[in-house]
Amino acid sequence: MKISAHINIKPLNIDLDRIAVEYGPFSMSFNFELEKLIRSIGVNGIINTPLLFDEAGEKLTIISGFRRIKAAESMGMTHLECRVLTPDNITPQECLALNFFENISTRQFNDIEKAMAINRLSAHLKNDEVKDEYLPLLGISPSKRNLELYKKIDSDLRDEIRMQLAKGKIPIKVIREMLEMDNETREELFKIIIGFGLNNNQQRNLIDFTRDLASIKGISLRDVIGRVAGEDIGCEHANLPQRARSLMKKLKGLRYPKLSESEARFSRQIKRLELPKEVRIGASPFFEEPYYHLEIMFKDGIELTRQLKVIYDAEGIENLGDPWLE
Amino acid sequence: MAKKVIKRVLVEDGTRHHEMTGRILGQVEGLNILDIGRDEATFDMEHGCKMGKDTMHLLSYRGEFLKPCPGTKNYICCGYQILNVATNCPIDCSYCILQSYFNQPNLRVFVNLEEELEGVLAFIDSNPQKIFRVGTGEFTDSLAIDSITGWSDLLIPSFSKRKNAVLELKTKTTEIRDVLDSPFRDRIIISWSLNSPFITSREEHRASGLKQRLKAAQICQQDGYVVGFHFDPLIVHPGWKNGYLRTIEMMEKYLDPERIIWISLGSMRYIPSLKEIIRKRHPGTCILDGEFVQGLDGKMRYFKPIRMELYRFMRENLEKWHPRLGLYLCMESDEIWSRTMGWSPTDSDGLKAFLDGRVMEIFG
Repeated sequence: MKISAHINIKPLNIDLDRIAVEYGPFSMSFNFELEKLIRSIGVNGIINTPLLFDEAGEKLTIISGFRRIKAAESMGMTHLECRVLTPDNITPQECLALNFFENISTRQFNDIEKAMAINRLSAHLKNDEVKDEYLPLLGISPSKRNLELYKKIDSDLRDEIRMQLAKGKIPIKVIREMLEMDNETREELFKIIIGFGLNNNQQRNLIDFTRDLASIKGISLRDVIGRVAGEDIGCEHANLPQRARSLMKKLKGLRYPKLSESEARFSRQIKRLELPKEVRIGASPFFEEPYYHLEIMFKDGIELTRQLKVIYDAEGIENLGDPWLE
Repeated sequence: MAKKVIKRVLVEDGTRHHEMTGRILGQVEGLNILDIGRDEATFDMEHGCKMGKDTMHLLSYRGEFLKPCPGTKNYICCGYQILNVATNCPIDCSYCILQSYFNQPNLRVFVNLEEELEGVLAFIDSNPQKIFRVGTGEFTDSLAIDSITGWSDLLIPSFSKRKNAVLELKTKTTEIRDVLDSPFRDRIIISWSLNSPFITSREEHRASGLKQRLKAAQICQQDGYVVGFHFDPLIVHPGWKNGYLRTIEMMEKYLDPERIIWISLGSMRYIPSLKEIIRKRHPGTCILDGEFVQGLDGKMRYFKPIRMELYRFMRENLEKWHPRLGLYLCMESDEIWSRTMGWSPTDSDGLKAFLDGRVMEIFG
């Protein structure tokens, strides 16, 4: 049955108590804002009536209009005009497809919504069909690995982690890694991510460093992450980003001792020169290039001459050299 | 080794008429042989741990057979030429770059080689002023399946006749029977990849043991072949200095240094996407434990002082054995060359000239 066939179904005034307002078998909405929708309903009413499914159960299941119904509920409405379909005129699979296409054509899905859609579609369709036809519609590369990942996101993650993923606070690559961990390790890692407010890049580095450290030290990832979680980074008065940077610096020092020591030594060398703030000396990433660079900010030739003289006279400048040689 | 490893053969549509197909199928009687359509073998390998190492896939290669080694940007490369006879490898080294070629599984053997070889040789002949250092061991092991493919039978006579080319057959095996049966020796180099005993036994799965490789090299040398060696990748691991010393001591025991054309040194490096694959396919590997940083070519490589320590150590100890072994660095910078080798070819042209010089010195 095509959606156009449902337009002719006469809307009924439904008591909101009769509707199962929770994540049902067709829903794919998670972490949404109702403010704008409430204002729209306040001005225009509900233009597009929700579709419900009556399986002769105690409650009516939402096919589409989950947000509208939630908004109506929070506006204190008790009844709402809805179109009600029954198994005589639509199958559950068609209900799901209907809601999917209605949503995908009008808005972006967050990762949890994508996972919800994929898991629900997988209950009715073959894996290959979901992979090849639906993953690209969701902006996901069509692979078996991605299909399995999103199914696990929907089934294995607890709500607090799901919320962070939906908000984009944890990148999908990190979630993929978390899903491969045992529950305890995953929870410890989540605690670190939230506790230190790590950004996406720091989260990826955290996983990379801890995995490597586990291999180097011959201990389990759980042990490494457990130790990091209990780490005293010694900056009580620092704000969250500062604490995050301190943690990552400490971890980097453990993972890359020679490089970290060289970088620190180079910083000390430069600091000792006591150059003015308009003069900067830097190295290529990881000292891979044989050269260092000098940057001078100046307003005119007189100032440039003055800066050059300061550099020339800087005590110990001739000793500046490869910090990794010491 | 070959016949034990290969469990089935896929024959791609349109390849039965090649003579090489017939010869190969004659060698694998009794195995499961399947005819398949073009591109049918690109089955789903996504991060699966299998790479089809037990499946030989016979197909026609539609690209250029002889290509310059892609090398790497911003580092000095040697100007090597790759003769692309096959891709993928029955050996399963944890560090192998081929693991990232998952979209093309199986041991892909190009059965139109014989027909295309004429063009390759004509190209070499049309550039008499240039020395072609050609190898088949970049995208596969040159000898691991030689008893099935007959590559050495086909290639050695053609290259041995040419004054402006050498053919290097690079391996981690002891599959030298067909090579030894060949009456040709001139302009042919049989090479082995070497490592410490620890890395060899732990990270080079299905490869021959170190001692066996060196004994095979000894046999080849004694039978008149020039040999080469490649310490690539050098890997920092517990007791690495002692490990590499042991390998050098074994070389001293089995080999005549005068009949070694070159020994390359290259430290462990990898494209960033390979790390995840290695962790999945080889849990427990130690090859990723070092301090890797992103190099100027985007590949991960050891932090500079670590690379320098590796190269210096190898150079000092190899040169204690013999001062003229044709030592060179693979994909390194002018700075590293100068600081570790005592000289630098300055750029890729310089390194090419050095290695061409070794060819002239050894083969005339």
